[in-house]
Amino acid sequence: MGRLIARRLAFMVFVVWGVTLVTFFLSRVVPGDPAKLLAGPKASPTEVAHIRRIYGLDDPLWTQYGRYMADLLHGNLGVSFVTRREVTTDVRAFLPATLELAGYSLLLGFLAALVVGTVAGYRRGSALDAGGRLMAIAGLSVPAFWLALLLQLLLHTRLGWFPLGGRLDAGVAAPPRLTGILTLDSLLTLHLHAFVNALWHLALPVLTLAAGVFGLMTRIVRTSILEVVGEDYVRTAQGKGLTRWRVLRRHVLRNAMLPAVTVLGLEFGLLASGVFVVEAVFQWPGLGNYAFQAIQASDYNATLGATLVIAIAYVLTNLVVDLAYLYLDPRIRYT
Amino acid sequence: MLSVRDLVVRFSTGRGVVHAVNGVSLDVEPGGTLGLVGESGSGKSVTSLAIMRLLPRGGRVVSGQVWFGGRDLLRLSAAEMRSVRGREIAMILQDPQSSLNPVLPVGEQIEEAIRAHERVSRPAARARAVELLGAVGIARPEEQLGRFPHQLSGGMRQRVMIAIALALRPTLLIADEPTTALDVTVQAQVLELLRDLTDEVGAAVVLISHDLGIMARMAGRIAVMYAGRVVESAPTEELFARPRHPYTVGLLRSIPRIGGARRALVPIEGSPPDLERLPEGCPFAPRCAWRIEACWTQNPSLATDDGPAHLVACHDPAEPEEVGPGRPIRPGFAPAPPPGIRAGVA
Ligand SMILES: Nc1ncnc2c1ncn2[C@@H]1O[C@H](COP(=O)(O)OP(=O)(O)OP(=O)(O)O)[C@@H](O)[C@H]1O
Ligand SMILES: [Mg+2]
Repeated sequence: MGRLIARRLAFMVFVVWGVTLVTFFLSRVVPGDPAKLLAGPKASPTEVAHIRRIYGLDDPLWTQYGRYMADLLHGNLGVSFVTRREVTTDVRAFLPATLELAGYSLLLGFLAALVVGTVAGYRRGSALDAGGRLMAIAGLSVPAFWLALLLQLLLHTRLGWFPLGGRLDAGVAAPPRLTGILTLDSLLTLHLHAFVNALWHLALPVLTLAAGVFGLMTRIVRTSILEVVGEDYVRTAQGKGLTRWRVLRRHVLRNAMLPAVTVLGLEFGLLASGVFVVEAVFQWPGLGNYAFQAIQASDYNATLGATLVIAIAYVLTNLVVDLAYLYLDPRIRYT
Repeated sequence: MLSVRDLVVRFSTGRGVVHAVNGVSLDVEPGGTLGLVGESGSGKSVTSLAIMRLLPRGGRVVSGQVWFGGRDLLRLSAAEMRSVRGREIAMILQDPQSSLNPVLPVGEQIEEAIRAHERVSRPAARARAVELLGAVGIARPEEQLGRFPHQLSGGMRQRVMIAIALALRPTLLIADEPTTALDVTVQAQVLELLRDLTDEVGAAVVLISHDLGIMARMAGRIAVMYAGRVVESAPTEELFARPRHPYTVGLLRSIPRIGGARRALVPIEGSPPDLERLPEGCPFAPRCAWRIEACWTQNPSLATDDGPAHLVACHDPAEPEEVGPGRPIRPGFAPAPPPGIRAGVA
């Protein structure tokens, strides 16, 4: 197990390096001049040239890259041209909102898929199965932006049940910042009003993102339930006189989970692309929005920093998936 | 104690209806061992699963009764049936490779069988599991509790299965080809263990096997199945000495005699009927050298013959002197041709 973690972490170094390389050069070949943006619309060419010199934007690309990497080794991601703060500070400010959004979406999508996929698999060919499969296909094929707009139109504009966007209503005092994850912070500090308000704001964006997770996962769960239900060991378990619930939980689900857990790693990609859209539509102050604005403003350091964080999250997610698999499947653990 | 009456089981598949079991009747004495033999596909496993009410998806008991302890199991509620499974009737499946859950330690798989029916603490169940593993001949049982099925040999896994099956001292054990997947040497050990332990517990056994050699050693009575029916049933010695049904005669001839004069293996000619399109008459008729006209039109029912313990379903059973040659030796006898052909000749 130690070896697996070490291998993954070594892999992470490569991923980070590759991502810096690609993102660094890519972001600089696309048109756009951050110095001009920084200097503002009324700045003279001399002022722009001055800013360019301060930020080292005149140097050859390789020199700039070398400098960036040297800083990176010290945990320094440079300064954002737009916010004028350290990119690490920005990441710390924006990442928790994204983690909160993605975490709840993953959880909701996964749990819903577990229930619907299991019912569909157990009752193959029934109306429940047909309904579950239809929902899965819908979840997979409806584009996130469309679903987001639809939910806003229906549940905000029409019915007024949920807010349009943001993390908290203007009148609600934010809880003291511990983790930056609002629902967690408000619970820990007993700001129950903020907690409820935060959940209320989470509902629509989470629903939008969870739909995609649910779509893919339901199909996986259904297929593996179908397979596991026919296995001899399930019959052995039933033959012991165990309750249906115990057979389902300890024997069927425990085995059917394995493929589902593997797919969690794949879900990350789905979720990451969904986050950009959803954060934009719901004005969610997260990393996706931050990166989106950074790219538009040719804010090199911010773009690069946000991309790096996503890449690291990807590798870490896969590490967690591997560890979960290791924990769940003794056949791999002991070989 | 177990009395199966006219059991009919069908499978609805995408293509059609499979008539897997077509009126099976069986009786098992308390403490006795009934052997079920028959070719692959003759309905042995489906019969045993129907008794446990654990038929796979698509399978359905169409009619019949399964009397056990004065109740028809087929009429019990799901909860009542659950209290029978594992506690009164236990089951061992053919392949120990796949019949244990690969992701749970074997200890838990034994303990849960006990805790499904008895209110015992986990440590107490654990102690029982250790005891059971010892009883099935597994060395250092405490150490094995935490191990997973893939860490055990096939023989050990089947011993674990026996431990699970006998954990609650059931009155009936159904063992579906319990040793087919094992090496020959291990087979003998596992069978011996099975016999000793079921004797000790006093459990009756339904033993399913292809292997007539095993049957001769283990079973007090043998029922021969063909195309989803019992075609002959008799005490073991009687069946070997005086088989009556032509199919049984063929089966006995198809095995090399242990100890006796070596004979070449004589497979029965032809193949079993298509279970989706069963013939009107006796399903064995097309392969039978003894068939008479009635065989093409009437499926004979199981009836006593040669004394009350010997049952056979045949219009024209083999005579003792015909068993050796494996064909009818009566002057002028020829197997009746199928009805269509006879009409053409006449
Ligand atoms: N799930 C199923 N769906 C459709 N048909 C089935 C199913 N299970 C069994 N059958 C059919 O029922 C018939 C009897 O099968 P069964 O497994 O009882 O045979 P068996 O006597 O146990 O054979 P074997 O010696 O190979 O184990 C076979 O023709 C088989 O194709
Ligand atoms: Mg079978």
